[in-house]
Amino acid sequence: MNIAKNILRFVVLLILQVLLFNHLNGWGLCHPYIYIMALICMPLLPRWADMLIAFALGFVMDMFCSSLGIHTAACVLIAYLRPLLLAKMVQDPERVMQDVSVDTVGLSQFVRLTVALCLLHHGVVFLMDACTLSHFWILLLRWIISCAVTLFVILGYSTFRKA
Amino acid sequence: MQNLLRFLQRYSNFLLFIVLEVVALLLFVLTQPYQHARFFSAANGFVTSVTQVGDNISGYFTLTRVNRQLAEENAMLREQIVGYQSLIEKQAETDTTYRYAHLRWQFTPAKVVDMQTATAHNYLVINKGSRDNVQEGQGVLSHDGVVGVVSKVNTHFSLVVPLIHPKMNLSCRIMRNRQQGFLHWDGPSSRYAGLNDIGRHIEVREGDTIVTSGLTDRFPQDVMVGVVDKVTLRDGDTNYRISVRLSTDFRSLEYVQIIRNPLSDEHHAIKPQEP
Repeated sequence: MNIAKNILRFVVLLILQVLLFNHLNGWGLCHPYIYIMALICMPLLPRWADMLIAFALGFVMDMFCSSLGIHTAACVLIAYLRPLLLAKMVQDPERVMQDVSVDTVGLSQFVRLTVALCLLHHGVVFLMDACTLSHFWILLLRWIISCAVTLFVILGYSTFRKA
Repeated sequence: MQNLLRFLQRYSNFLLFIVLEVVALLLFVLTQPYQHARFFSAANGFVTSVTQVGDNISGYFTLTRVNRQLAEENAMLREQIVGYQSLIEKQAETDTTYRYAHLRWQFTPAKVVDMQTATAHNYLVINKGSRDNVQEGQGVLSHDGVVGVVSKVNTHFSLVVPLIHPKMNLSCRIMRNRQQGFLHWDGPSSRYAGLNDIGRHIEVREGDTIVTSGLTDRFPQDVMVGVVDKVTLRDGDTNYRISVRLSTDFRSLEYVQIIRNPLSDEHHAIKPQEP
């Protein structure tokens, strides 16, 4: 049941990302990558499994974005850091084993976790994509706007699921 | 040995992390030439079929605009047909060569898919190629007038050298007095070009219409090229300096016609061979 739910969420998020959010451009400033919600909300597996799943997900995204390696690197990074962050934030890891969500970790913790991982992931993606800091302010603006949109969508999606 | 094993066990997650990141970075670096990565995913049937679904869906959102454009173009074409029909009818009575008209000028519509109009070496790319019988040297028109000449062809696309390219020299006439000169562009504005070889004894006025001369096998006679914008004549000059406002606005160009002269081989064959 839980596995099916997670796989379904993976697929739904991937489709949303590829068909809708990849085409959002917003004057080059808005590139939200909402599919990372699948990684953020994944139940806590053994860490090697976490990273391998993240690697696969990133690779699939790269295929759709014609950007081999970029999403893969970013996804593996947040998959590596997520258990560390969770361990710092949550007192009762048993509950989280099943599912990381607003219900299990609480709204403020969930937002903090999402913001942190989102900033990391988007930062890595945009930096690797640009390969330069020459348009620093545009890059920074794009980073902030995209992260804000991603956060908004992820929170919206989780409340929508609850409703 | 045991220490090594314990080390590996202890840091296995971190090591896996490093390995995966290195693989990702290798993928990134090795496929750095962007086209390579592009090819990798473009060649992947599944990815393309999924993106195709997306394109199909988003295609509906632009239908209104596309419809309007098509309707406008239809109206314009109908107008032109009427104009040409009356011309043909008029000419058919007097012109005996009319019965060879089917041997002249075949039109292939094409869409501009890429262009550069702001540099010193401008170009257009259109979406018809050798598969549609486009050949090097064929003329290209828009409904406003002359666009340029096809300079390179591959299977699906052609490169067009526009009027606003320094290598372009188009034989033209002043409509009013049939005087012939050469249109030449040396920048910078994409709306203006110069008309050379019009001697000072000829009368040129601002507002005169410039059309193709019909002295090459590339363009039919009397196709609109532009309008004389400014005429200057300095002391000691033998020729006018004429600035022509081109009728084609390259920056808003979308649809063009490639014209093929079925007699162009014969035209070339009879010309004296250059040594």
